[in-house]
Order: sequence, then structure tokens, then C-alpha cells
Amino acid sequence: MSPSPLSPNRSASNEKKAVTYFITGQYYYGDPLSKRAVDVFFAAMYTLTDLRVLLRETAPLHELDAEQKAQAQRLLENLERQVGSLKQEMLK
Amino acid sequence: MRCGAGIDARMVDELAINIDPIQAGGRLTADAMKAVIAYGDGYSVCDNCRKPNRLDYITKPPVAQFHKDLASWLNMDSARVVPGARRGFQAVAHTYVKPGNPVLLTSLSHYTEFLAIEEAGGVACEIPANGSHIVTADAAASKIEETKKQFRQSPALLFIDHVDYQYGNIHDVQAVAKVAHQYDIPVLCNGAYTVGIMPVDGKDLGADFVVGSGHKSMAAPAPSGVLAATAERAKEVFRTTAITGDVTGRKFGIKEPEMMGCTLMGVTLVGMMASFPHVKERVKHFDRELANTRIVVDALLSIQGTNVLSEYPRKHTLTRIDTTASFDTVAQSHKKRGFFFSGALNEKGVFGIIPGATRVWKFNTYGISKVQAQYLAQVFADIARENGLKIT
Repeated sequence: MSPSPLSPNRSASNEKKAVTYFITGQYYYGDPLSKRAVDVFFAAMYTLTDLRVLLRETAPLHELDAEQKAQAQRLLENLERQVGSLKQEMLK
Repeated sequence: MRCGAGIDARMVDELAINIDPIQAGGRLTADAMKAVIAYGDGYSVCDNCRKPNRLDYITKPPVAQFHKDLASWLNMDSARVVPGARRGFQAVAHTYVKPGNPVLLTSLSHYTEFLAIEEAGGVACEIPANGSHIVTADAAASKIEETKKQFRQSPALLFIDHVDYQYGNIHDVQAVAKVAHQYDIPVLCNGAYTVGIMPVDGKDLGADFVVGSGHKSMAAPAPSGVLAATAERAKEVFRTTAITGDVTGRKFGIKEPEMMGCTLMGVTLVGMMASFPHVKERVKHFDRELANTRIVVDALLSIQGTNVLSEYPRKHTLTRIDTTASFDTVAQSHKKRGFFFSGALNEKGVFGIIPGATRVWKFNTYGISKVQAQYLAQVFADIARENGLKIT
């Protein structure tokens, strides 16, 4: 019997093919293992967004003060980690 | 760089200080940009829409709570999100104005207020602003009397802009509303330049309706806005549908005709919601914004021949300036004519002044940092100096 597309609490480990499952009150679709890739994708996009805002706040010369440089450093390090995780998840 | 066929990526605010008068207050917060990334798909806020199937009842994301918070923040009783302030004007005008009814607005009113009246079949009657470009309660009272004599009826509605788009002047909404209420005229306060920019208290202003613009002043994507009402008026403008299909017998639950059912079903709404906590906070610090405006206005006034046409000292970040006797004198003999000014600004990383304008123009410093305000002030002075204008 094929699983109902909206059946909650289906154990991911019982199904090898893509299923729908229920986490923290929301339905997600697909392979639960790829959830990490999706999470990391959004985290990276949000880190890039914070960098974008920093570019806006320092326009037009983009001369960052010490605090802004430290923020940029932290964001770029996060981004590198996030892209690394994304590579790991999507290219495995 | 392109983000689609024929569509260049927009990098204005990353590359320049943007002082476009209508864009400053609508720049997205980081949280709104993040919400836009996640909720860009069409009906994205409708994933968990359940009966009674109306936008302001959705609890995930917390749209229902957002509506309550919006009303409370504006000190009004009910609020709905609308696709821009103009749709708020339209809903209210359509509710109260019948063909031939006189409707009051002002000589500084936005054109969409006129269109809302026109669409409802009303007649636009303008309260004239005084010589300082301020709309007073006395002028409103005179116009009401004049209109009553002419039309043999009281105006059906009065629109008053809290801050007008032409001069960025603050008008005495409270006093105007008091006069209007003596004639039982409902009052719509157009807060397109104040809701999300500075504190707005609808009940204190005496407004029956407060309209705000999401994309102009609430750091939200376009088109977005808010229409808030008192409890008494909410029953009228947010009335629910009574129509029935004659063949199918269908009815449409609690949909609201003036809202055309649901209004903002995706990225506009979540953008507005994501920015809301920041917007609530930033209105408390409007004094910082005015301090930045002062830095720029002082620099402009130091250029001989330049005048501020808005009320002065400035009480709002949107300012109308007259450079007919300064930058325009340069334009008369410059090989680029009037375009020298916007060109020079663009070269120095400043965007938002109408290309070619050297006489009367507007700018808005809302949202820029003190460092950016100082840079902007320096740019205006440098352009003046480089073109032989005197700095006092």
C-alpha cells in the first residue's frame, strides 16, 4: 500500500523511498536525510543576506570600521562552513 | 549581472546612498530579505490556511497575531493588510462615498486619494494649505462650510495626510479631525509617510481610519500597506459578504468585499511581518533620523542661494529643496545642462535625485547612518565647490 501523502508520524527509517513525515508540527516532503541540506542552504542564504546588509550600511565606499570588519569576518567564516556542509550533503 | 532574461540585478542600495524620497522608508530589513527568500512562491502564506479560510485567521505563520499587533500598535481597534495605502483609501471611499457626494482632501493630497474619490463617484473638494504649506483646522472648517453650502450636504469623508508627500510637512490631524467630527464626517489619516517612520497613535489623532504604506514606510515589499479602523468604523468597512449565487446557492463565508477576500497572500505580507519588530523599534528613535537630516540640510543651506521649501527646522526626513539660485545657475552653462548634478551625485555614490533636476527637488535621508549622512553632506558641498558655488 502506498503511503498517504499527508500521513503524519511516518517513521523515516521504515521507508527507503521518499516519504512525507511530520516534524515539529509541520509536514515535510522527501528524504529526511536531505533536510540538513535544505537547512544549510537557507542558513547560507541568510548569512549572505547579512553580508548584503553590511554592504548597504557601508555604501558607497564600503570602508568597514573595526566592528564591521569583525562582523564580516564572522559571517564569511560561517558561510564557508555552511557551503562545506552543503557540499558534503549534496555531493555524497 | 542578470537575475532573469533582460532583468539586471538591482544593486542600488548596495552601491550607493539612496535618498529617493519614496524609497527610503521601504528598504527591507535583513529579516524581511530572509523572509522574501523563503516565501517568494505565490500563495506561500496559505500552507496552513484552515476554516474559516481568511488571511487574518491564519496562525502559521502568525498572520492573525500580526493583524492584532498592527491594530494595537496604531492604537486602533481593527486592522487589515492591503496592497498599498491606495487600496486602503479605495476601500474606505467605496464604503462611504456615493455618486455626487462631496469629499474633502487637501491641496497637498496624494493623487491616489483623488482616484479613490473618483472611482466612488464623489467630488473632490480641496482644503487649501496655507502659505507655509500647512493644512490647518481653520482652513478645514471654512472648506466644510463652503462645501455644505455648495452641495447642500456634509462631506461624506475627509482625507488628511499626516505628513504630505510634497513638502514632508506635518499637519495637525488632531485639530482637523476634531472639526470634521463636529460635522459627523469620518476622517481618514493618510500615514504613508509616518506609519513605520515615527510614532502614530490613531485614537490620539482622532482618526476613524489610519492608513499606512508597507513599501513606503514599513520596510516591506510592494505593494503592501495597512488599513486600521476604530471598532465603530470597522463594522462598516470590514463588513462581510452577503451575496449568494442564484444557481449554485453558494455563499462566501466571512470574506470581506472591500478587501476582495484575502489581500496579501505571500512575500509582501511575510516581508511586512518580518520587518515589524524592527519597525516598532525604529519609530522610537526618529530623533536620530532627524539628526541625520539636519546634517544634510545644514550642508545644503551652506551653499549660497539654496533654500529649504519644507517647514524648517525639519520635523521629517523628507525635504523639498530649492536650488534655483545655486545648482541651477551651474546648469545654465554646463555642457550636461541640468544632468550635471545627478551625474555628479551618481559618480560620488549618491542615488535618488531625479535626473536633470536642479531647481526644486526632494530627498529623504531616512535609514542612512550618521557616517553616510556626513558623507552625503560632504558630497553636496564638494559638488558646489567644484562648480564654483560659494559655501558660507
